[in-house]
Parts: sequence; C-alpha cells; structure tokens
Amino acid sequence: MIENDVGGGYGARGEFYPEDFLIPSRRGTSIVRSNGSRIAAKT
Amino acid sequence: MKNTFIGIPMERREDLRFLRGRGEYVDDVTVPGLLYAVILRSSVAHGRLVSIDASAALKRPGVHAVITAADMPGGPPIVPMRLQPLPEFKPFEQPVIAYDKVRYVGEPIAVVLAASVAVGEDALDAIEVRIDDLPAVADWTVAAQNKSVLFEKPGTNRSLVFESRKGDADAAFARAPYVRRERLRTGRHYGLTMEPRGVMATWDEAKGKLTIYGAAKYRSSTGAFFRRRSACRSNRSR
Repeated sequence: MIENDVGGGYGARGEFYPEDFLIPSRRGTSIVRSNGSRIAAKT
Repeated sequence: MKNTFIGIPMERREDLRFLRGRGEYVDDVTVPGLLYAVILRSSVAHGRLVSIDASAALKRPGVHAVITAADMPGGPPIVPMRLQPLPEFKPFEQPVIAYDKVRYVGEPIAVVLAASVAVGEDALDAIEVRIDDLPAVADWTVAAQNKSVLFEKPGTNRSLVFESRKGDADAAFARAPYVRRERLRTGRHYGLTMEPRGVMATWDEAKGKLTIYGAAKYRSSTGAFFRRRSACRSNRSR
C-alpha cells in the first residue's frame, strides 16, 4: 500500500469505498487505475 | 500558558513541495501498460437489477474487459466498515458492485477496463442495463416505515437503536427559563478533495505481489486488510 498525497477530505476518506476493492481485485490484469470524478465523489 | 496554535500561521513540512507543484497524487502515477477503469454507476436510487449486457461494449476498440458481479464467483465481496464495525451493521454492508439490487444513485454496476479514460467512458454508453424500479428510500422518515427495505434479509432499514444518557434532561428542561423545540436536519457529507477518489493497483504475477496506490488515509490498516483478503505475503507499506 503506497499512499500518495491526499489533498483533503480526511474525515470522509476514513471509510472504504467500493473502488478501493474493485480496482485491486483484477489480478489477471497487470496495472489498473481509476480516478473518480467530482460527481462520483458525491455518491 | 502561551497559545502556539490557534490563530498562528503554521508552516507545514510539505508546503514547499506542494507550492513547487511537486505533489504526487494517484493521477500522477503512471507506468507502461496502464489500463483505466471507468465505472458504470446506477442512476436509480433503488431497483432490482434484472440484466446487464456488455457485449457491445466489449467489441469496441481499446476495451479490454467489462467486469460485473457475474465475474465474481460466490458473489462480490462487501465493503467492510472500518470506523464502527458493529455486528448490527453486518447485514447492511454494501457489496463492492451491485449484484441483485441497486441501493443508491452512483452504486457501481460494471467496470470497464480500457486503454484510455475516453474509450472507457464511451463504452459505458454501450452497456445495456435493465433495472426494475423499487420505491426509493430517501430519508430516515421513509426508511423508518420499512415499506421499502434496502436489504431484504434483515427485513428492516433500522440496523440498531443507540441510546445515550447523561444527567437528568427532564429536570434541566423543567428548570430552564426558556425551552425551544426544533427539528434540525443535516445533509450527508463527503470529501471534496483536491483529487477525487482514486486508486491504482499493479499485480506482479511472478512475485505474487499486489501494490496499491491511493489516498487511503490509514495506510497500515488498509494494507493489512488487503493482505488478509488476498493472502499476499508481502507486508510492506509506505
């Protein structure tokens, strides 16, 4: 686990989100990245 | 005692790095062979997920895969609660991807892995999803009626009753020179961060090593959680 710069949202980022598990779950694929949008961050 | 914090400008150790544009967010990390995950999210607040047809999306150039709950034998894993993992919440934990119902607007339904974000976003339009609407549960008053439950198994939207008492409230109100009754509402809150939520994962088949980049806040506990789930031997985190 390598944590990059966070840029705020410390409280709301305390819990897990579905993306935290969806992206690392694809083992057969070598490298996958997901960047949420502002709208996605509000869901 | 001299105040050394409140109202005092604090120079943070990372300020110089940020001011020089040297911050490193998930979007700054790139490696050859990177695929981009774009998520198809529910536009329905509550509904029965009837079918997902991703065949047209898979035919598009640059689309490597479309992942749904059907690709996860035994059903998708749940999103565990980290801060308050009470046993009463267990029946209400959400899956990482919708598999029988959608329970909120924005819930992931499918993940497109594509050569670029643009290709992935275009492919989302080619995925056909059929959802039968169910009555939405938009606030606690509706939820408390249990006419429409998000999770059928517990049969209720109420996970627990939490009671907290301190002192004699009735006596305090009786003595108070002024009593006001008011109902207060607060909206949901979420992080409006400099970089929206992002995560990147690399899997080294030869070494059996999963590396996750992200702004997880709790690096060590998140890393430990993934190690337990994936049985990875590596325990490095930084």
